[in-house]
Amino acid sequence: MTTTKDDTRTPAQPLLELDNVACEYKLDGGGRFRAVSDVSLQLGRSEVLGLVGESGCGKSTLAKLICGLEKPAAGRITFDSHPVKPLGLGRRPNHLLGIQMVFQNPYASLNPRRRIRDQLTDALALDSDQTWTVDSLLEAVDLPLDAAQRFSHSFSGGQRQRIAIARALAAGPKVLVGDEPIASLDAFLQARIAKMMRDLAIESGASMIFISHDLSIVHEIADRVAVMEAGGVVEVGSTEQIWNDPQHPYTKKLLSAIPRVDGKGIIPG
Amino acid sequence: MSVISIRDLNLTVTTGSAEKHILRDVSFDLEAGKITGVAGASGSGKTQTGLAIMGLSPDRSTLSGSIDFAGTELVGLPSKKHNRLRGRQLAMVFQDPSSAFHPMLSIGDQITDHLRHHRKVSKKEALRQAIRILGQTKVPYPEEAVSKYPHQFSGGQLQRIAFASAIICEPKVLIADEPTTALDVTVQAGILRLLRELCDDLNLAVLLVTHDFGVLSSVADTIVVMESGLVVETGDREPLITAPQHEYTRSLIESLPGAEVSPR
Repeated sequence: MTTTKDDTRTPAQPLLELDNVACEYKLDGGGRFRAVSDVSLQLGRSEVLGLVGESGCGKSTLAKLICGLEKPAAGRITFDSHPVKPLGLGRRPNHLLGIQMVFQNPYASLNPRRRIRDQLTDALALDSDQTWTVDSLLEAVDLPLDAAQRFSHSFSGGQRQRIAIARALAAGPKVLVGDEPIASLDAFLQARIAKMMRDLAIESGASMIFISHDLSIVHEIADRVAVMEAGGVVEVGSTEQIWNDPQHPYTKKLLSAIPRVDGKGIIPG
Repeated sequence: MSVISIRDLNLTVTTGSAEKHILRDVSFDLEAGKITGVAGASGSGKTQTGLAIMGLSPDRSTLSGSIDFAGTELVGLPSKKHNRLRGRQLAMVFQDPSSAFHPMLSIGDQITDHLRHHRKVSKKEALRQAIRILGQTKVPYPEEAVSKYPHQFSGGQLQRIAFASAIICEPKVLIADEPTTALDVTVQAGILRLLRELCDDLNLAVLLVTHDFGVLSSVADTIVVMESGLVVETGDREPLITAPQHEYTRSLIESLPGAEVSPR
């Protein structure tokens, strides 16, 4: 069992800290839409935090905020005692390179005109420790070594997502942010890729924020789970506590909607 | 008595000089009032089986074998004759509701188009039927919904509208290709309940294509498991899920979190 839970081990200085963070989008007709409001979260070292909620609840916006791809309307984000500044036109500051992201759609996140080797080499250059090589990365994500010579179009969705994971790992991240990294994959691959991400992140000493709408996958890989609804975090707790003893009615609703694979013919909810 | 019976269906697609065998001797039946689930990984041919029934197999593909639809042979049926069945007797709902609708036509126009074409009913009568059918698929405020546009609805509501569009001509067969994959779990349960109700109330023969055994476990009556174009196992829902016979079925179910497979 890879999911050992220990809520008390979060060290005094968390690796990543969100303090009352909010984010707003401008609407076409004037006015603003508050996608994320007053979110406070902490991520410890070597910890996997699952972030779950329905579409439109602000999970992806939160992921973008953490990576500096959106500008917070209020609050503070601190990574490794540095503030996370929104990314401008300039180069991302070196101390923020420790945050790497795996996106939802593997068809849009790889460059179609460059060989896999080149794309991985770019990311490898960011890691001063030289933990990985192209070959060891491909091996870690279960791809054949000749994949390095090929272009992204010759891979299936699951294979592309593994390349995207390899590329994120290559930079030697301290925090790996996965924004629905498994949503576009087959049900049979989802659990496997999710476990692969967890194992690779933890083995390389990184933490991970794993965003998903699928609570049953999050249950398999996360140490702690945060449940989001309408821009706010309604419940945070150890995975076992959320799974077995949910407090918030919304968490209960999410859990009861998961169809069981028991062949009983019962429609959930 | 099965509504559709598929026997030894083969599909080959030719690209350039290479021939690819998509379906190999696929055989199973669809029965009225029953949901037949087809499971398999991507590329196993489950969607192509559905499309073959609809007569929508890709260009430069050859279909052989037999699909018997209440006495009509669908394999090799001229496209004009297939057109007369499609939308009227054979209906389909697709995976992504947001791309299944034309963004610039009102809901009322889109879901009555085939009704007016096949049944030659007046525009007024078609709209009246659209409102009734939207009520049946539990779209909120059907009278207002007919004059709205797709972007004004959520994904779950659009999928309900897609089901309304599919059943408006009172079809005998409904093919639902991953109807809940693009939706949230909480919305998924509602769509599955709708599918079950439509199947029972209208005595539809439903083909439910999905890779999610959770979905099949909730609504399917019989399950067909496919692997690279071959049917590896067919059976009733509960025995197939709790005690799969074929190694591939077992591996699929075991790969899911929280599956309850009895140890062999």
